[in-house]
Amino acid sequence: MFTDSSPKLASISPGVGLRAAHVEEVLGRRPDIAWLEVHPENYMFDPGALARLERLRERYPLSLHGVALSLGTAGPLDLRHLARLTSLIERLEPFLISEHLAWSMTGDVHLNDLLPLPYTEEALDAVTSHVHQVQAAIGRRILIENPSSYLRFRHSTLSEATFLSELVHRTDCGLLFDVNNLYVSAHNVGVNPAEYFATVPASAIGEFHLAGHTRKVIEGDVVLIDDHGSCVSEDVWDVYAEAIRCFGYRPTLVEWDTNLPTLDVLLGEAAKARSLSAGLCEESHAHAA
Amino acid sequence: MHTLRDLQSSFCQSIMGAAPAELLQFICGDGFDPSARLSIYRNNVAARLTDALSATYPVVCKLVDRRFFAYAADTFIQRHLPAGACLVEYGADFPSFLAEFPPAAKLEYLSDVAKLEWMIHRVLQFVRQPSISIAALGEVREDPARISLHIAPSVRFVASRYAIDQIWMAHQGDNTWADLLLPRAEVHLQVSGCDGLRLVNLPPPSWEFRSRLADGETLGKACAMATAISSDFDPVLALAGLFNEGLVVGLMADSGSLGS
Repeated sequence: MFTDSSPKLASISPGVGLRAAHVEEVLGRRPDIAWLEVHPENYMFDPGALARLERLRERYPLSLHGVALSLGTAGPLDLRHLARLTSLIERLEPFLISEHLAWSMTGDVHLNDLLPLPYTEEALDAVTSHVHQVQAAIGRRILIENPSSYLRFRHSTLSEATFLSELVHRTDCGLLFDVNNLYVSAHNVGVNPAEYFATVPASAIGEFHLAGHTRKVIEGDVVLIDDHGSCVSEDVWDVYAEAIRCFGYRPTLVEWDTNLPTLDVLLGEAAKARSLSAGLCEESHAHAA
Repeated sequence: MHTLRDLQSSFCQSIMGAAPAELLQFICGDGFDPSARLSIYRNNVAARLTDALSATYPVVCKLVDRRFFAYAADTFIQRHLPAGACLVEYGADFPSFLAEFPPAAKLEYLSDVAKLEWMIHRVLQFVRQPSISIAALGEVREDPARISLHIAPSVRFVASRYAIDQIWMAHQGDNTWADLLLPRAEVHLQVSGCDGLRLVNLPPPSWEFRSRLADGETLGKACAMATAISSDFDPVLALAGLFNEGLVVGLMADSGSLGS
């Protein structure tokens, strides 16, 4: 049984994804941010960036959100990458570690994108094996994030929610529930939010993600692109509220990767998440009383 | 296509070019042409890799029109997908690609500027390693001519017929071509990354000596190559300079490593 490293997760306020353009400002201002999340890949080859992150680590709890393990690859994991990740985890002692339900590597080629899996028993076996391998290597539980999808495969035999639930059952991993991804996938490929809320085990969820998306017209129809380049949409705030009502509050992160705004805009989104979640938690306590 | 491995292999082919017909059969259209759905992923991959190249090669990006850079990057990506999990590792072949890229043939310096940018990108990725003293050479029983030196990985060498260091400097911050000094005919640069970036233009024999050692040549061969460029080359002074600057982090003889 793997455990998370902090017993106080449920009480942590929303955090923000830290990107390179904001690092100096955060170091200088030391703003009131509950925690920071970074992509570990950005710190594996850059000793200067790692030194700055270690300074921030003294002030802010840290979460590592990987994008390159390729847990859904049919072949073996990249052991050099896993070793670098393990070393970084030992050095930074993050309170959360997460990755994606996706693949990005085939053979010796790394496509560096979060590519879609068919939801089949074969894919479930591959992801299960790789999650076991990663958790054994790092000695910690990881959270697996639901993807944002632009297509679905004809030969899938499981729903996304069932696939993730079975993965939790087989590996004791946790889940990172990305609210924006669920909204995007529901629009693009018909993933069913109601089934998610009914199927996914609440006890496994260790983190929520919030982000913006854009609308793109393709062949006359709207496709939602998960570009993390704008404020969280009102619809996604509604799904976030539903997630808190259904699962309870979890450490929540606001991500913003493209069209990067000022740090204050990002902090404003985190404050909005704090306000919304605090109101819902009070409502929940009032009902319980 | 029956296995996950086959599916991922076909998906990868679709990123490189046209989607295999058998892959399209496995994708639900849901109101779209399945290839339109695949193209979203193809565009995402291309955008991510182009962003990575422009981050590593910002001066090349400034030297050519933005659309030209995107075209060059797109052509490069079709031929060279990443072999590493981290994007910071991507793009080592971009300088040699530019040298052979016909639309860039008139910009003869472009490939060399790209080489310099890749070296700058790489040297900044290493922390300082403890250097060794020249006294270590005296403790070795082997013929010194057969010894190789481990040069610090945060130091690289690049030569060009063009003043690529000045071109690079002229495109930092708000500088422009107007700030470019009269270019020298050629440069022999030592690029160092520890404690801040340093570009030093070396005399050609010194550059030959140091770059050959960095490539793994023995002291004997590196000295011979430097002397071939100038009979005035002084191996003792050159060796002392190398150690005094803290560039040597280990020794290697034919029989194996002698320490670091």
